[in-house]
Amino acid sequence: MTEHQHRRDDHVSANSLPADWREHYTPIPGTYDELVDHTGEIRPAWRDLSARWDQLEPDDHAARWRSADRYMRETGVAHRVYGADHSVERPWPLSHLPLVIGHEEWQRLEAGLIQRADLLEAVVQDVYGPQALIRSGELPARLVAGSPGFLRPLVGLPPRSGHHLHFIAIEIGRGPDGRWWVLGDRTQAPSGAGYALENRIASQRSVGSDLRALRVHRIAGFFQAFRDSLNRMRDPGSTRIGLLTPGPFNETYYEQALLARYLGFLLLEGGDLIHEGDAIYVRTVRGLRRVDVLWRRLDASFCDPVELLPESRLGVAGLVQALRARTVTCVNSLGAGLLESRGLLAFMPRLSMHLLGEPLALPNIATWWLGDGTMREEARISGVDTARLSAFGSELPMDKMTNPCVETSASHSDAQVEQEVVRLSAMPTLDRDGDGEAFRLRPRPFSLRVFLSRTQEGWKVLPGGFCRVTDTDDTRALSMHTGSRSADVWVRSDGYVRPTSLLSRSANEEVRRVPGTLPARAADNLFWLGRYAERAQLSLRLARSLIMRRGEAEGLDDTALSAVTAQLKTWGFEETDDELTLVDALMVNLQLAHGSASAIRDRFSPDAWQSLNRFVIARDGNQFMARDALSEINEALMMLAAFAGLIGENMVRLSGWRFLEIGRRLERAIGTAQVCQTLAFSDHLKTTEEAGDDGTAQLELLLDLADSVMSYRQRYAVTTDRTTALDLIVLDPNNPRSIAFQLEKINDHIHEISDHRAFEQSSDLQRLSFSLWSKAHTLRAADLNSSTVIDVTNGLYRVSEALTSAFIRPIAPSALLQEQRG
Amino acid sequence: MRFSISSKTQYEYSGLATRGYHMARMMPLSDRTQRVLTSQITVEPRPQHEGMLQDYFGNTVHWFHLDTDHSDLSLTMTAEVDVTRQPDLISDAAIWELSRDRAHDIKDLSPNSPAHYLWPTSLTVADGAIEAFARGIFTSESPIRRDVLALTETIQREFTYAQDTTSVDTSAQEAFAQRTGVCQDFAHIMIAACRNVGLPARYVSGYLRTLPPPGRPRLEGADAMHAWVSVWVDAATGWIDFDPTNGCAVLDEHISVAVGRDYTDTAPIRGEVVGHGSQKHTVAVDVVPA
Repeated sequence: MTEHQHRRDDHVSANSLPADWREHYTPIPGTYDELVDHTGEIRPAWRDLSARWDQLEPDDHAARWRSADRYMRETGVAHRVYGADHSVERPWPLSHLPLVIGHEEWQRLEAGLIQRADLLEAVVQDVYGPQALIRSGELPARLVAGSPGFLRPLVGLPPRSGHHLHFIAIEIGRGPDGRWWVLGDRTQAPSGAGYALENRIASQRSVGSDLRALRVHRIAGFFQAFRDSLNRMRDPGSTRIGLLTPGPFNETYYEQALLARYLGFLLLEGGDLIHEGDAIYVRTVRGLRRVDVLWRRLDASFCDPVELLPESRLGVAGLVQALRARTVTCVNSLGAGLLESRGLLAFMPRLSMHLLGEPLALPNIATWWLGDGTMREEARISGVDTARLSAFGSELPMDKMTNPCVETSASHSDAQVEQEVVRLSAMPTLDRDGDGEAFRLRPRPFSLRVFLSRTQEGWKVLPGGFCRVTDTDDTRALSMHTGSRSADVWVRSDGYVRPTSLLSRSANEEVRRVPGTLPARAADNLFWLGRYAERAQLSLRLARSLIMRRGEAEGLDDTALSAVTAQLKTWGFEETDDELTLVDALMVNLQLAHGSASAIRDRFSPDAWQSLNRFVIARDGNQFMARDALSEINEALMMLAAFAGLIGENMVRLSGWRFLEIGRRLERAIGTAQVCQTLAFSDHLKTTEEAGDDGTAQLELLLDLADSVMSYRQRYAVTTDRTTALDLIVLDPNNPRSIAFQLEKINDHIHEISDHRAFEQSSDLQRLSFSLWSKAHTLRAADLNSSTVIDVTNGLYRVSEALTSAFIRPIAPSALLQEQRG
Repeated sequence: MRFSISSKTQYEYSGLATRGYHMARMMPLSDRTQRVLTSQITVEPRPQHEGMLQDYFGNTVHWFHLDTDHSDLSLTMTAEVDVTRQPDLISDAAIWELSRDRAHDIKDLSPNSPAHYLWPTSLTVADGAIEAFARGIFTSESPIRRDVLALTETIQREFTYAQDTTSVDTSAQEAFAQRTGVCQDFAHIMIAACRNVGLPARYVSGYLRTLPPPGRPRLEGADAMHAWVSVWVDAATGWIDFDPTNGCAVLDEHISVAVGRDYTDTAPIRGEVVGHGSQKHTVAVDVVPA
């Protein structure tokens, strides 16, 4: 648990919404307050909710808020935060109270947002098409030309879907007069919709009321409509919709994985895709599969290193060429990010008149482009409090300016705008009262990101949104990076709210049991996740034996100890007397497992991911209070068991699960073979045997490490015998820890995944695994010796290699062609 | 004047490359000062897919896809071009501020529009030093041709042509600070200076006549692809070329291939190659009167 979370827990457990909260709630002077009007009356949209608060006992509040906090923590709602030289994933803080918006107000907002979405589409259509707005002077050529979002290779390439915009966000805030204003447009790759989804689940817990009874609109229907409209854009024969991600190091990767899982999209990195002929393909375990609709969370300029930003390593060489051939649809179009330039806000009011013949229903904040002489003068005499900002940036005016614009000299002061400084309205949050222990309901400024998606029936607005709340009264410090909170957004309906969920589908959706498309990179990560997790388990078990045997006052067995040390050494762990140093070193396998898992989070149940993630994060944060090697090992082993259990119980038996299983079984077999080699056959043991040692201690240790002590004792009551012990650990097909058992499972899985026989190599793989399996089933315990065990180990390595070359076929690194110059 | 041009670019890979996807900008362009009679590119090994397209700025792009194993790559370009460039007779009444103001107000975003060439790119951002340099040359209300030529000559005089002191990623600021570089760097410095005072300037890549006409010195940059700068005067006059590496206006020894905001837009070859190992490349260019 992080320090941050501790603090928040304290908040809630020690305090709750005070009974007299109404008396203590004081709106910020000069701002619009969402909860109460100027006479102190609760506003109509909030009345039902506040009535429920009044009925709750203080302890109920506390319990509910804790439950919401726990949900956010345990599902791993996270956001990557960049520090000076490293980045960490941080839990996403949730404000305990939602923002409530009434029915009629929302309807007005919706109309304004839809009008704006249509206007944005019309502008981008023109700039990448006929450019009439530029020739008529409605939009200055120079402003468009300077925008980093204006991608010249895309000019004159109408999008295959007919539209540039399919999923956008609009950032809005409410001014002191109660009117909503547009603060910025998000047309590149807007984030936040997934967080809105998580916030909804958590806030249901915190408020503890039935949202239907409160007539709060559901948000699942929006996602369903979005998914359906993307599916309609697919060519027959292409694979699922791809969600193109910049990868696990992106600040909103968590959200991308969540949305991919929720919507049933393939989470793809640039490296998963390949341009061939004129189309784009996913590299899957069954070969190339054509993908033709990509919902991108990657900024457009990074999408193709050959035609766009040459330094990008995240895109697909040839994507622009595929767009030219009209074989792929990007959502939103490459180039749509142009609309995010702040300078465009200065022109939207008159573009609305020009293109739609009507004024903006929802105005944007006053903005003047300094490259225009008239505007410069207007800004000077406006009498409005303004800030000077980059004309090409897109941060909200109250966001901290983390990316100052490129140093521009005097002649380029027209790369700037003057923009009105807004005083945002405030919503209630639960806050610490000064430095004291008391907490109270307090107004905090916020901004709201609303999402729109294009459907067959036109634009649909998510009834809700992603609300960011500041932690101070300062409206200028509102950024996800700097510690604000987010809140759920409740839009009230005037009637009955129909339940919707992504699972309630139309009747004509066919039942599908066939395996989906497993990208080769995902298969690779699953395979290695299995291997690392198992390797971690085995080495931790070994270390535990070492520590326990050292601790035993009597019966200290030097031979067994040195065998364990020798085995740890073969796995690359240096001998050390400090147990904690050893434990820390062993955790490297867990970190590797975590690394593999984090790149494929869309493929797990959140519970499985979280069991691993929480442990690794807690260790990274040094949050074990008093350190004790044995208990840390035990905790890690328990976590691994839970992880394996959650995967086994919750993962569908598709090829992804099989790759993970093969990895796990392969590693277990290899590890067991290595331990057998060290404890039963190595040279130094022979010398001790000659010295009269019967090797019992080693055999017992071996049984212990193979987790087979119980099975052995059930069969052979008293003595420990070398042949019977080896039989149980190596050859017994009924012992789930034996090598033979692993080989059987591996063989089954390989048989399953090789079904389609798309590649010659699969038959090599099958032959290899089959011969290994049959060997284990024909050997007798008495035949076991050092060389048979080494043969098995080598056979296992060959299976691993064959599997990789048949299914994963790691692509060689790609490099940009060296460029030449004069 | 008619030239026959041949250029050969060769890449050698230390390991085996399994795929390659490339775009070459090597073929001369046709405009009001030059006319391409014939041109072609041959790629070895034979690409599985290849084709031509015009990029945004009107440059001819030859793209190709290799998806069989290969350890080297060669591109041979041959062309015949008529160059009809006349000395530009720009009146001294054409002061540079006029060009600046016209470009700023232009209602045109077509490929030849000066609007694209007003903003610095990451390779052509001016710092204080370049700004001071530019202000020392562009004086109030002076003829554009005189000041731009002075800028061209000053760069040639004050900077040393030296291979291997800069790379393709070197910015104008870096090259300006170290006062050495090659044609690409000098073009970037000149572009940064022009755009800094608000004058539209663009990057031109092309070929140079290998051996000079009798009595003229051999130009620097003739052994490989060369680069120079084009400055916008007004809608009627259009773009006029200057060569800061050789300190002269461009006349009849230069053949244009591609134009763009900086080197990146005109790179003779850009692409991605999949495979292990390092790359080595050589370029040979021959331009002779036909």
